[in-house]
Amino acid sequence: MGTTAEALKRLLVGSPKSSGALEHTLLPKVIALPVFSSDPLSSNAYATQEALLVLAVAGAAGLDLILPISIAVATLLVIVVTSYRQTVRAYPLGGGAYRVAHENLGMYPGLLAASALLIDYILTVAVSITAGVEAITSASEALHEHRIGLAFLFIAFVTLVNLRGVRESGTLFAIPTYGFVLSIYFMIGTGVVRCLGGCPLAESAGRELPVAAALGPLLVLKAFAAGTTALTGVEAIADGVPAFRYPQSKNAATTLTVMAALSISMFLGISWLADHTGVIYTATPLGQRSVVAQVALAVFGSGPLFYVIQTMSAAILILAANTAYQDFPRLSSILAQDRYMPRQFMNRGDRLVFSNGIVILALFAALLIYIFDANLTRLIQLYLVGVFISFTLSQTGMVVRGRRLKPPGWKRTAMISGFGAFVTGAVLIIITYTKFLGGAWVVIAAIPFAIYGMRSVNRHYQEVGRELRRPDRRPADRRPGNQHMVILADGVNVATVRAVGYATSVGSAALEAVTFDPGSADAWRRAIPDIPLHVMRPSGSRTGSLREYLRAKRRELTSNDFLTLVVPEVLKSRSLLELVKNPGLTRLKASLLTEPNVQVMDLPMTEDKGDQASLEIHEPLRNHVCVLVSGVHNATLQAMEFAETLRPTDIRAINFGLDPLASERLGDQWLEHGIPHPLEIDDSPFRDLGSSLTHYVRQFRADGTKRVVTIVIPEFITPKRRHRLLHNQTALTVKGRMLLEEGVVVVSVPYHLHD
Amino acid sequence: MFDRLIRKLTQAPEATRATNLQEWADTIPETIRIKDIAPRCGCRAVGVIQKIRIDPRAGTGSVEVTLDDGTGRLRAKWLGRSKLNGIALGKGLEVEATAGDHAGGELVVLNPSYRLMPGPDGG
Repeated sequence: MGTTAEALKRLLVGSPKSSGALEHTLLPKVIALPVFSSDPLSSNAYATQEALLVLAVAGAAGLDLILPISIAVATLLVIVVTSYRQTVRAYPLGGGAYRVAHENLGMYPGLLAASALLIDYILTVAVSITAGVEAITSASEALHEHRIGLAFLFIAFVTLVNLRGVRESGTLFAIPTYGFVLSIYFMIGTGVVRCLGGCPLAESAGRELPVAAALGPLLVLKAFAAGTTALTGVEAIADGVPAFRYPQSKNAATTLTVMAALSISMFLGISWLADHTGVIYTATPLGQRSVVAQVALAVFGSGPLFYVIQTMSAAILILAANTAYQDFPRLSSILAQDRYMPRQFMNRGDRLVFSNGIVILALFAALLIYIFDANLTRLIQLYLVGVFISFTLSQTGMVVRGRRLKPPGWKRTAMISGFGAFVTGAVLIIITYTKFLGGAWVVIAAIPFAIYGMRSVNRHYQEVGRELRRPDRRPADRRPGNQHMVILADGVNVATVRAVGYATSVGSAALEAVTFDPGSADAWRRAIPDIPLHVMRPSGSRTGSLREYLRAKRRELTSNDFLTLVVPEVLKSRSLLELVKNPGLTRLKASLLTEPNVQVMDLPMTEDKGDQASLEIHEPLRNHVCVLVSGVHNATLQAMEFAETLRPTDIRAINFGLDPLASERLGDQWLEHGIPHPLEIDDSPFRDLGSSLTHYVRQFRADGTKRVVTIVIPEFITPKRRHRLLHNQTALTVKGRMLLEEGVVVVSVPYHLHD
Repeated sequence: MFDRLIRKLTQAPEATRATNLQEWADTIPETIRIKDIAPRCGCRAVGVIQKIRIDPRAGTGSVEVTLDDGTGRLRAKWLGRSKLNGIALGKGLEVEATAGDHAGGELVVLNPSYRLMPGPDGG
């Protein structure tokens, strides 16, 4: 990457952090509260409104019920928080619904909770951003048309802040969260005082309200379901225990209680004021001021304080999306660790955050906002189903855990969790029933697909694991190690000459060349008479005929022998663009990768070097072979044996510690398997394999003629093409970077997995 | 003023890391920095484990650990064994032995006595 691009990235995302700096990103309570509670606290900005919206259908009589319904919602919040305080204590490593359900109820309930949560986190971002944009358009109505653009802008902002990392965003988020809480309290306080001498009326008070439906139990349930929005985000704290400072569980439990106290008082306060100022909020007309805005206007008039409330609401709503930005990536990394999601979600980026999860979350949320036209009422219909599925599963899991482990006092805690599970289960039924047609069906339909996807990813990884450890496919310990090489030549040039030198030094049992260019045959026979040249007449595709040739060759060999296709390549300059310029060759190499028992070896060189070199054949005097390893299994063993057949100066296996847990075990595994070659575990403090390897390789000062470095990459080849995305991402990075290094030869040693 | 800010924001991460390592090493008493080690002195140095090399070949088994303290690198090599309990990337290690010379640019100490400790990041 160019230095300008690099500097720009550092300016935006910040300078990369070394892996060990993780400890410093733990959150103290004062920061953890806003980071994890901006979501539940911010829902106060619209929870009352959603309940009022439902009640308004029944006319003025309906509106009177807002206070009792708010009290019911607050009670529910108390029950859930009490129950979650126990989960947090029982699961200091993060007791998200996924982990609790997976451990206590089994795999499918666990995956159900996981997919419900993932979908809900996406919705949290979509809903919060949309509500934030609405708070802005409530203050300045001209912006209403640009709401989708505004929403995208805010998503981009929050994404960027999160890519910078936890701690920084924590401090940034503290200001609006505390600001919102204080300003709402100030509004409630002022409102109550003013009400002592007769309440001020909202702008919509006394508006004609036609009675469209009778006030029945269904309507009350619907309003209650709408009000339960206030409960979202409790999950976030339970999931995020590992992000707290020590003692983690205790701090998390305290934060939960504080969050609940703040949330309940704000919610009841807003509902009380909305009731007493007579706010009316209906589905039409569009562009009404939000309920909080109306209350603020009634209490403060249109002075600066009204704008303070609107600004704070907009800010906290947009930042509430941040809660999901904390949790979606963390949950997906846990799922990746458990092998239910692609491993890429485990990688920490430059700033130690799970960058891939963050980016995926942002893309999905933006898509949802676009599809639903940034319409809050429609989006909110999808919301909540996932939250309550996870509440119910998590608390049921806690009951089962209590019965199984019987920790002291388990009966009391199981009672609390059981009661909580019962209540949230009932609310789940209510929500599904009242919102199904409104949009909840989308979520309910999406969940099975998500579960199926995670299940098949898991099955695949398990099969690969088994396959890689199968003793009967373990490469024989000491192969005769015959190496057969075929050079793919396009005439006699510096690159082919270098390839001939390399192949000769290996001392292959058989060495020959093939070409598609009949014109160069004579020149070849004059220059390199020792190596037989086979001229191919391409019938059909080049790849096809080359493949046929190699297969015929392969059949003559025993299964212990290696057959390697050597591809000399002249690159015009040291730029990655070069790889794209010769698509035919790149495709050929890619398609041969799937050919069983054939290795492809790349010998690239740049043209500027080529001019000075002569066409004399030099066998390299030193050949340092480095095998990249991530674990000890059949694919690694096979690659080590391939390396031995190259007759190198020395062989070593290297690992860059990108997965600290795996690296710690690697040393012991290496000794257990008795592999007779050194293993080097080198720290890549910024988790950047490409530059660490480049740095490593340059220490050999390879020049391509006297001294070469051979990088051997074990690759898994899966029978199904769609599974390949799940592997070999490192192989691609390495090949891209290494092709441009002077004197470096890159070989892929594919290991074919059976079905 | 902006110059400094921009330099700070875009400073190469390696430089920042070296400074942090050096600050950490300075807090450990009675050790000297790697760049100050004179050949053949009996010295006590400290560094974070940057690289581990296990060589299990029969007869010549060895473990080699490369330490980095922000001022330079030192290779501590134990012969005749292929395992050193408790070592892992990112941990701190204090070694005491007579240093060899700076052959090949890196200082090597053979079979030093050693003490494991938490690294700069508590690892």
